[in-house]
Amino acid sequence: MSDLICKGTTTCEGCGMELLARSIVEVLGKNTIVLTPPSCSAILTGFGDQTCWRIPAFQSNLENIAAYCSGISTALEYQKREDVYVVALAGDGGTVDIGLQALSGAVERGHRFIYICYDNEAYMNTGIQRSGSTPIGAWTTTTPGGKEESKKNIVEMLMAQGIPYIATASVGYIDDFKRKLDKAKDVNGPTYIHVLSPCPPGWRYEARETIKLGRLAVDTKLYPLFEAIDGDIRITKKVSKVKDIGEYLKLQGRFRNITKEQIKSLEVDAAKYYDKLVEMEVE
Amino acid sequence: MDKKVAIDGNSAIAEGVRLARAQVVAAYPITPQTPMVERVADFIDEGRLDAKYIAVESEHSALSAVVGAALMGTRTFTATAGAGLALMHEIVGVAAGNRLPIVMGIANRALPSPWSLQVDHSDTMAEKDMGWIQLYASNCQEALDYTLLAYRIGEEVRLPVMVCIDGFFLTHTTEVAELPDQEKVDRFLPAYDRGDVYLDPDNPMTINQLNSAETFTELRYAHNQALNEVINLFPKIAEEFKDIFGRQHSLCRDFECEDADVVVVTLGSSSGTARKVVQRMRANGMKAGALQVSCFRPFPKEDVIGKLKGAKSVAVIDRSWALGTDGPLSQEIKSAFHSAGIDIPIYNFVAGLGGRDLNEKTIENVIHSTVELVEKDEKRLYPIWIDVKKEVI
Amino acid sequence: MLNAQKQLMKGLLFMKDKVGIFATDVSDTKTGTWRLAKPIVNENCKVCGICSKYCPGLLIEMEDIAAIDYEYCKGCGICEVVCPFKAILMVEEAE
Repeated sequence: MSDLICKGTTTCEGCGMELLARSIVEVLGKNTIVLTPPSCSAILTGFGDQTCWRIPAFQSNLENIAAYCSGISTALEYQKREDVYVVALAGDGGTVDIGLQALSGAVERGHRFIYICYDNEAYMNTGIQRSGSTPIGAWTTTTPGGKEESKKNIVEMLMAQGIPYIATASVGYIDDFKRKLDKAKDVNGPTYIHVLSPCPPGWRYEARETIKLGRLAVDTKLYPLFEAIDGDIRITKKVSKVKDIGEYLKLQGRFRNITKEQIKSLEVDAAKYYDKLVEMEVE
Repeated sequence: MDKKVAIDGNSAIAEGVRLARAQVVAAYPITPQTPMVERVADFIDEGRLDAKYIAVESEHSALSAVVGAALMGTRTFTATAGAGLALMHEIVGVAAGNRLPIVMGIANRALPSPWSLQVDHSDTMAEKDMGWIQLYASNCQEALDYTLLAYRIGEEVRLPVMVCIDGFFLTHTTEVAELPDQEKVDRFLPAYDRGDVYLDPDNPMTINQLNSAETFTELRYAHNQALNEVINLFPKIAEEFKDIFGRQHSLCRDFECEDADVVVVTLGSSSGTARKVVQRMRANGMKAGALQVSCFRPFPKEDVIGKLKGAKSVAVIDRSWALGTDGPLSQEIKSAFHSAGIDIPIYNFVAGLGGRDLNEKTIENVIHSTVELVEKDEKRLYPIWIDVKKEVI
Repeated sequence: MLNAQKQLMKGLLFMKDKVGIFATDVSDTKTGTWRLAKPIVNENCKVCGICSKYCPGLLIEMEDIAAIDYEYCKGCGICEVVCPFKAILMVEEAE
């Protein structure tokens, strides 16, 4: 294992983000500068004189992590240091909601940095509030009756901007993520990986099910795994035998009150989106 | 060789940035700052400044980007005005708290609402207590010189600096100024030192992490110590500046204050106007004086008191909102005098808001009103809005 | 650095004489104390490495059989779920 993050961190047991963070430093190694916004990943950035990182780290604000990355990346360019990776490790709220403008700007300008969004589908660090990335039907503390709107598709938004490398991933298929990060690191421009990261306290399930849920989301087509290099889409995990969405939902307390119509809409949208990806896929 | 040039305030700051050899610049256009960063972009494009320019998508990102670049150990510059500075507010604190010597050019512009394109100091006054050094220039030469001083002083105490020039009155007004030789500037301003805290894989550290009540006060205290150190440092560095460039700068610039019946205190471009009014009044036998506060943060209390204490009365003009109380400049001066136990009448006047010309007539009115108030021994707890249209009173 | 500041900093261990907000002390939390159930590896272990790849703390080393670092293991039970060979079973921690 990599020793670039200390062993005992105070993330929750079964935390998908922790596995992701460790996988990131494993792939990128010590020449990496990591930024975390105020979010669960900030737990790694530490408190007072303590930190979990053995690589340079900066605690950003919630909405501007990509702007800090722009400055760091540009300074590296000025200093002619091409051997250092710049990584943002932000949650879904800091990415698809408040961080969207800075992210979109940084991608448009083409800075060399890797943006990794760990998507746990709500503001978990502040105590499970709805984000734009929360799926339809999910309970959060600010959608006590279940969210009525669908999840925002940030990946499509960034693809529309012409980002040179973008991928989805799931902590349930960690090798797939590592392969994608390995590709992203060599791209001379902005790269983005959106990683589904199940959250035991936020999704209301037993900590042991994190990886199982991370896989079920993919196997039900709810969360297709693909990458796009210069816009050319390739599905990296083909789903031939679709698993029942019900199986995924019933493991999670947050979907306790999801309606039949909402389940239907999840199913229909997932199938439609998957088919669209297949259609767009480059042979 | 130094050369005399016709230059406006925006270009003067841009020339300062070029001469200071800034390395990373990030900015977002906003009136009346825009020509400042356009000029910097030109310098880079023409190869006269070896720097990277990040054309960010907002002011918030502009300051964030230069914070990132400063953390990497590069000399940085950004610029903004009015609402743009307000949008930056959160990162204004981050830049100062992380002790990053960023220099930011400010084309002072009134904050909304109502919308205004023109000058008052409400934008920078809203940031006065965020731990930055704030310098206010009264002409284009000062705009250039203060930019060089800003890098030198900021890097010495590891704090960011705002170099403030009045929107349009300075940003877009062309004056004759001396453009110093690069060799002299290099002598005055050493190569950038990244300091003790930086992002570098060869010496990894975690920066800007969460702190508890155990350490927060001490970090803020150290920040305050550094800021106050500028009061001692400024005259020393100004002395060096004078030796190299031949021009004298100070924390506050006095003009005929010593035996004055009334001294009018100002910030920014109206300071030149005030000096002119004083000169004329003196010629007509009226003992007036003028004091320009060049460095507003840290506030040079001792210098200000020293230069004002011979005066019989003081009239402080705030070119910023004094809503519900005194204007910020007046608050500083009254507080300094009270703390020092010196009792002379100090009156606060509000004028020149949202681009209204703070002209000779207004300054004369301020001086005459002060004389009258002193004669009648009239106290005023709240400021006098001296140039408000009579029909609204 | 300025003298006044230097003196002040000396009193503040965490700043180590430096100007800024930063930390260099990498510190573990002994999270093994959190554990309510303990993963026990049995003879079914094929040393395939799947558990070690999915342990959020990457706390499982592949030796003769999977070796779990109980000093830090929080007891989440992911290893039990991902093991294809039923080689790890969660056992409730005794008092």
